[in-house]
Amino acid sequence: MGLPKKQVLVIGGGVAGATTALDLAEQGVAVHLVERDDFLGGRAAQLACKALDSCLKCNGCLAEPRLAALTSHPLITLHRASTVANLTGFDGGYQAVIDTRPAYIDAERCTACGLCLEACPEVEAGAIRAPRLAAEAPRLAIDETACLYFKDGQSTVCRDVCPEEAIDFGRQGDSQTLDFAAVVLATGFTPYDPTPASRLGYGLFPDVITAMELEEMLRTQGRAVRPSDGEAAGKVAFVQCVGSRDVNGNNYCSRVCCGYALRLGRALAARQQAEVAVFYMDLQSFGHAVDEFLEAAAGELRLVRSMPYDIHQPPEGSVMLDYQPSPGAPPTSEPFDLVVLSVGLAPNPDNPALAQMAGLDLNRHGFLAPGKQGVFLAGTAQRPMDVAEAVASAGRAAQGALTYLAEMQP
Amino acid sequence: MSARVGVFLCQGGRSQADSLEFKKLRWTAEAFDQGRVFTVAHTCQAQGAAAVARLIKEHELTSAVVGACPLLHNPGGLSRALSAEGLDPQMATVLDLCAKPEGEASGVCAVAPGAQAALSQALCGEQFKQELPLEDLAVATSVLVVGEGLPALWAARGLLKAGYHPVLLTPSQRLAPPALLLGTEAVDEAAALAKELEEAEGVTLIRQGRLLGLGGGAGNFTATIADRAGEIRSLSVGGVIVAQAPPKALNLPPQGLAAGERVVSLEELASLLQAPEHLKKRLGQGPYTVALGVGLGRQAAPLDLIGAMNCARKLAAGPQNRVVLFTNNAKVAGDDLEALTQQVRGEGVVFVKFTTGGLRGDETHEGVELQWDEEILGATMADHFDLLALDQAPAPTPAYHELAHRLGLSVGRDGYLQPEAVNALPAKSRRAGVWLVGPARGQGDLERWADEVQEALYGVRRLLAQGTVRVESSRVMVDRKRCTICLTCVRVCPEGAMDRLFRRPMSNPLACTGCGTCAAECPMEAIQIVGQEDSRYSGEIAAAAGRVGDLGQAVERRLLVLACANSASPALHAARLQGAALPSGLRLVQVPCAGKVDADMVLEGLQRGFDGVLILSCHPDACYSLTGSTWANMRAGHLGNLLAETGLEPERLMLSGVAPSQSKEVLAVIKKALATLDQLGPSPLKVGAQVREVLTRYTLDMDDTFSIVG
Repeated sequence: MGLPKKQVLVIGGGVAGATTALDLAEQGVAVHLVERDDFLGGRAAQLACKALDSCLKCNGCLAEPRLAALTSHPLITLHRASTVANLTGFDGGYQAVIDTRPAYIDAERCTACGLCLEACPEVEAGAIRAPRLAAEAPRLAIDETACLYFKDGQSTVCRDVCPEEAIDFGRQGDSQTLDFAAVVLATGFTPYDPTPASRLGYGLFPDVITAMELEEMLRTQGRAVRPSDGEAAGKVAFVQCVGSRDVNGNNYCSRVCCGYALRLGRALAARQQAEVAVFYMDLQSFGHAVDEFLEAAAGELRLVRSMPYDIHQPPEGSVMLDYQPSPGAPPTSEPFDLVVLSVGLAPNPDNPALAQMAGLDLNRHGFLAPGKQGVFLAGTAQRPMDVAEAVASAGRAAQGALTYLAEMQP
Repeated sequence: MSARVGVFLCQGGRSQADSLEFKKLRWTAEAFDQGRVFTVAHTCQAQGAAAVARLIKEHELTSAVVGACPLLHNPGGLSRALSAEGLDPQMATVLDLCAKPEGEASGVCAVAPGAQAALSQALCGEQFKQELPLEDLAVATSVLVVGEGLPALWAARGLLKAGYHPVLLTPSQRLAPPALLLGTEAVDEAAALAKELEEAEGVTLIRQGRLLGLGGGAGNFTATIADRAGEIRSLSVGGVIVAQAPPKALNLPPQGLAAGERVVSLEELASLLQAPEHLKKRLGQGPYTVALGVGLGRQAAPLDLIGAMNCARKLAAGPQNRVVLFTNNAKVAGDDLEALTQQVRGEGVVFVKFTTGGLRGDETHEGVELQWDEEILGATMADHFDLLALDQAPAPTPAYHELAHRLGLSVGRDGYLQPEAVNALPAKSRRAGVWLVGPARGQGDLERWADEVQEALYGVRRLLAQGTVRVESSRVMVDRKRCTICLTCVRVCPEGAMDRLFRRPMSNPLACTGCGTCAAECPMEAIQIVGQEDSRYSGEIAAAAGRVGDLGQAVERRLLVLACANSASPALHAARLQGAALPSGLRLVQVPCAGKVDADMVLEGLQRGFDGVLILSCHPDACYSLTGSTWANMRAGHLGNLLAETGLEPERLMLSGVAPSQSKEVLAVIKKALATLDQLGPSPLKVGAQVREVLTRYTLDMDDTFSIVG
């Protein structure tokens, strides 16, 4: 086996992976970027703009141009719908096996007419999906886990309706083995899943959603509605620290939830005149002009230092939130149109497998810890951070990889 | 060599080539005398894109305009096809010229409404495309680092490692002054790093230095520095990394307390704890009762809480000492801080958190008498403490303001140097080639600061490379005959890209992003951006207006949208990809930044018969060229007043902020603008525009006739 070519493998196509890949490619380094999902963008592509007349500095739009640039850089090879099945180190480099799932929709033929989307009975479950980013191509993809064909072997309505005959369930995946001089893990976080905590009512009541779902709702529909009846939400509660600062769960602060909840709240208050309450323990915002920001938030929102102990929704009624308004006060029950759970940033469930493959350790919370030569970390794979911090950490990963490549023997 | 432009028209999956609309599109293309017209099937797909790339190569074209379907078009695919042929992936402009007619089966394409105007508009833009020669610029490979403490030291070492020459300018004598993190690994790291840099070759240390000026621009700054002895020297540096924290003062609670013998900073307490004899001297023999306050006035940061907890743990370890930590919001948003807080509580430190009210009290000879409202018990508490130690908040001194001024920056409302613009995150400043990291930017923690330093080092690598940078020569042309050296351009440039050479403004190609704010603001109209000349936009607006005689054009000439290429254009593109149709009566002209939109463009639109003009910019503070949208806002406000003076309704000029992800909102904004125009009715300038146009055409036709006869 010869010396590895000086190309870098970036795992993860969110804002951190995209930034690292672009930073490397702009310095003339060839990059292969592997994204598990059918489309690029990761979590940052789910975030909505929260600007009032002027920007509220959620930093979400830092992702947009970086992700768009990723799709057209000549030095970046994109592997969508792909995973790194194996990563073996050899002298001065890594060999990666990249498995790509079959593309059942032929991107060359598909004209994104949308007939398959209309015909698919499981479109709600995500059997056929479209990307979030405008710059993305292909425009449509079939998800095996939700598609009925892969359960019964005979639901072929999308294939039958496609005028371009672009859909073929018989297509095979692909596996290729490539050599890399360095590897960057930008595998991101997973939003905390509040389903197990039944007192929060998530999954039980339609009008209890997570903040990630609200972001997506604002991004795609432009306003916050009650899922139960599709009406604009006039009274909204945010519940902080869901899945964070919990001695029995994730015993750390997720750092970004106060910031996003206050901004989402201010956006809803200004754009749809919603009455917004935020239930919190400590406001964690820090950084730029934070006093001014919190003062403005306190003027526009009701900030309640109390954690609701029960959330329930009677049939055909509003969600009820039970809480103690202040220490010593009697408990109260208040109705809301929409309850938003500010879910924390949990480690990616793949982290143990990734760590083992790349020869890394996990920290005590299950995030990836640095330490292996030639392996660099970017973004929320390491710890909770906001978009700007993820971009900075991607810069650090690129800078580290470039220095490492320069020091390598030619 | 003159430009050879290829115009590629998509004839669709099934033939649309016979339709009248397509023929008109073809005629428009053929009328363009610098180009050649091709018809390709499915330009939006890989095969079609490959065919386009092949034809460009075969015919040695220098640029291309490619018509494609907005529903499908895949700019990534086209740029990849171009790179595969060894061509510049940026050479092709993709235009949304096709549409899928409502109710038609897939694969049946048609010419989009308004395609003809869009194409002639694009071809007008093509005439202004100009490739500028590349030049190799020599840049300085010394980099000035301003500051002390870990972030500054990280930056200096990183520069040294990457082969640059760091010049470290520290405000005090020490490279690593004692910090809050006393007794932690970070302090040892800073001390070791300071030693390493003191001994390293290739580092210039200027202790207790003062920056007197920073002239020049990115790549070639001249830093004028006075050292401790007052000796002044000039250094040539390629970039500057600023890591200097603002001076700080006690973060006092709002009522009653002041700094004193027994009301001190956490930093002072930390240094007292380092030397027990000093503590004894100050407070007498123990045991001690100590109050710590974090974030009682202004909001604190996780780093302040870490410092307080370090002090608290040391004190709590002493026999019979009593420690109470007062705070409003326990800022635990840092690595393992939540767990540390729980541990510290377990070690006997009492936490008191306020929602309302706060800490009050008086300093006495023996200590401080403090009162606070205990929320759970609902009672006012009072207690005696030997000492109250508080965190610190920025309190910029005139010297810090001066440093900011010398750097070409300003101190923000929160006392740090970070600019308001989101797109300056994570490490940029308002001046290209100057990075702001760590405690100069704002509150943070060590992880964030370390990432910011590395991000800045990446920026240095990109700017300075190995000392020579290949770059396109400047696009900003200053007409010396018109320029009165008022230096408005120097003041308004969002990137600080306007240098002064022999007192005259001159753009630095290493810093200029081509946003055009300088050209729009220049009161003498002395500045033109190559490729974005004023004449280009007047031409494009004229082309967008179309001709009165063309069926339906006059109806569509209602709203001229001047759309920022970074925010509004991607949002509109996304909207069309999602299948949304743009309202009729709308014409789009893309500008590099809303900062480029000047009065002439707006007036041109109104004169050409548009009923109104809508400028779509980034939201203020979210502008991709940092302050372009701010200038656009100010200009639009001013221009609205002028319109009102002429008797025209100022509402005909509208401006709105849009983010690239707001594909729903951008349509709502446009619909609202059209509704406003409905209310206002047709512009009084409309008829005049039509009359003028017909007359012009008539005389032009006469000229043509004469030339044929002649």
